[in-house]
Amino acid sequence: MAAAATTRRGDIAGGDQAARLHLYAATVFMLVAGMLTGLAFLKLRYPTFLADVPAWSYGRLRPIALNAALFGWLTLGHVGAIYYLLPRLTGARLWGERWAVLNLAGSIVIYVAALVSLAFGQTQGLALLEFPLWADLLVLATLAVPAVVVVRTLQDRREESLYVSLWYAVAGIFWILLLYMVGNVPGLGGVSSALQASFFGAGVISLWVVGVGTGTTYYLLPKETGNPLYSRQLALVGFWSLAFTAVWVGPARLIHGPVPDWSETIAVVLSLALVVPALAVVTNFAGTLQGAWESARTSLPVRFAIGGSVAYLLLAILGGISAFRWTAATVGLTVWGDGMLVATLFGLAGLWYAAFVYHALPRMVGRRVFSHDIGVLHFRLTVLGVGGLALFLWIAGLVYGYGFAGNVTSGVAGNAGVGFLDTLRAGTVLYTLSALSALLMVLGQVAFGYNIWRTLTSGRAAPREVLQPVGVGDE
Amino acid sequence: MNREQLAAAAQALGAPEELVARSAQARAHAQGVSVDEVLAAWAGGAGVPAAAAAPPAAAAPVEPPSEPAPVEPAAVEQPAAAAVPLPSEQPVAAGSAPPAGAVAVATAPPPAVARPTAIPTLTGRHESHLALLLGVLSLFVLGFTFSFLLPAFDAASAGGATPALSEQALEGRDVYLREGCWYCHTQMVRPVVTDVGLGAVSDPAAVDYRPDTLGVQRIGPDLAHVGGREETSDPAWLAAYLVDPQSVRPGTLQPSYAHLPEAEVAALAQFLAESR
Repeated sequence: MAAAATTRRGDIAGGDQAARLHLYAATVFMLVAGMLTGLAFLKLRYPTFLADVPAWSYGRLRPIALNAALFGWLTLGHVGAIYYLLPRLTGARLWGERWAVLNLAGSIVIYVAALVSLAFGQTQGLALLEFPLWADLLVLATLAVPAVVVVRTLQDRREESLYVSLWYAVAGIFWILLLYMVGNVPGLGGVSSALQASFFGAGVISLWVVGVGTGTTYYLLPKETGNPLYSRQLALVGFWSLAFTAVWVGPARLIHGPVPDWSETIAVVLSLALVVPALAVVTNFAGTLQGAWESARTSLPVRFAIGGSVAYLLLAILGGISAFRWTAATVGLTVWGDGMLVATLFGLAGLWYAAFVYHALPRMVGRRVFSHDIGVLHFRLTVLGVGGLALFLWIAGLVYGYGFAGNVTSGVAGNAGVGFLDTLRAGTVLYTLSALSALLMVLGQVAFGYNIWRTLTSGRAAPREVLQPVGVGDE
Repeated sequence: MNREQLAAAAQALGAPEELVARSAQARAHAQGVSVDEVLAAWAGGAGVPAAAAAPPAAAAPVEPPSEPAPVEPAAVEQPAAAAVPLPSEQPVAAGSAPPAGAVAVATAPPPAVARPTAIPTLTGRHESHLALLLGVLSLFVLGFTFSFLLPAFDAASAGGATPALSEQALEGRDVYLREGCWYCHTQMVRPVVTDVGLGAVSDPAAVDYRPDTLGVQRIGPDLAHVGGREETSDPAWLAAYLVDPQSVRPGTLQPSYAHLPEAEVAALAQFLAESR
């Protein structure tokens, strides 16, 4: 079986080339984004560190780090994952693979140019939508290409039923396309802009970052464990509840803010409802892992998938709780929200991304993962680093939220000027700890990058998964 | 319909009898043969070897045996759905250690694939990706309308007054947005306990907040009415603070903006002083 697999390379010219190259580029961006995030947290605690360079000031560094993570890393990574899943789940060859590769080259150039322009102070001034207008149009074009590839490949498919992963892949690429269009409509300003950014932010995290990650995990768990998918019904609930709910929760970031009360109320209710897809998906994963939990010891993808799933459930519950009006009155506008964002990008999405790479890469390049032990180290550093980072930011959010409330109720100090500073000092140790945790996270990513690099250059040979369209040559 | 044959066919296929019966009827209708002939073929005849040898599509994760197979009404059953995994199929990589055991299934396509009619298609529903996209799109438009479009329209038509800012302050506002001051400072006061004493609550009916300096979180204090507070109402003090925050307020996390041109620091300070 294995011999036959490796001798039929010609079946698809450059099989998985697009997927493979996307994952390489994404992993490089992941390292960049991780290091810049670490640097940003260091500068947050020690503002005099690397001061006096405009491009490295916190207000410019932070959007560069976030956009490198969201676009360079997770968007390219997810598009690569979609290219990997499509031929395997449709039985058709990936349509326009050359265009996909060309588009990758274009995407890298555009993302780098846009990130550099952020360093030079060109910004739209909205969270996660900082890319300037010229870059927005180009980014939209680079997102349209995978959407076309997805639709054309699906039109060629030999497989009649759509496996769960495909739902997320197909919907995901259209979600990011639509969200990016809506998010970059220029000229709104003020409260409308704030609503625009929060609509985009909530949507892109839940639908694109978490959604496609869910799809890849739905694929790799049955493959790694040999177990069938636990329940398609539950998968339906998870998918459609996400598709419904995630586009409603934007105003949750503006609770008590200058937006209509009714829109806040809807967002509060549906933020809690976002627990439903998380619960459905994670239950389904757990069901699929029934009898195969032990494989987490031997299989890196399963280990990372479980870690990411635990993070998903935790973050969904915390997200629901922190949207309540009474919780938002305390932790709203504190670094609590930053903790949620970092944990989602580098924890949840980062773990699922690593799971997918550890699963797919050996199959695409025909080499085993270089070192299982380094993989385990990567896992532990990520859990400790991101877990610590999020935990300390959450605690800081509580310390400051209750501290500021205490300043008001005791009447001793106000929440501006020196009164603010006194409360701030009480929690700066938490920022020190977050910066240290971010360092662990970066070390984990470096271990990951090293493991990938050594896999490509000196991994032991393993059977390569050769794609062959179902039924081709039989007609 | 012969009950014994039905039971045998169901056992051979590993599917519930009810589904087998309905599919057999559909197949018989489509091929113009009797139901019993179809069942006999499935139970031990032509269909089973083909079914046993049929590969799943490429390396698709195996569909769950526990999943009730959707059975199409006779008229729309897809006889050509050759590649649909049968409920009786075993997991691809069952029992073998990854990744060696998880080689693509497409290594040796048995000829059976080319004979679609030989395979009973119990799950032979053609699932439309366009329908999926349509559903996703509808839900997106629904959420977009109520969580972005309508509240944004509400706020935009609230009719707040544009704050009167000097020319220099307007330049300073551009610097404020460009340098990302809003990552750590808000200009948004909420009607909650922590914001008491920060000044008038932000209300789009009173003030037109364009462009967006509302902000996302407070690593530093709120600046909505910073110019209205005694100490921070002086542009000169603010400019000095922005250039060397540590010596003005030891322990602050405010980074220095000494690297900005003097005129920009002055404009930024002016904007803050006029934020009342």
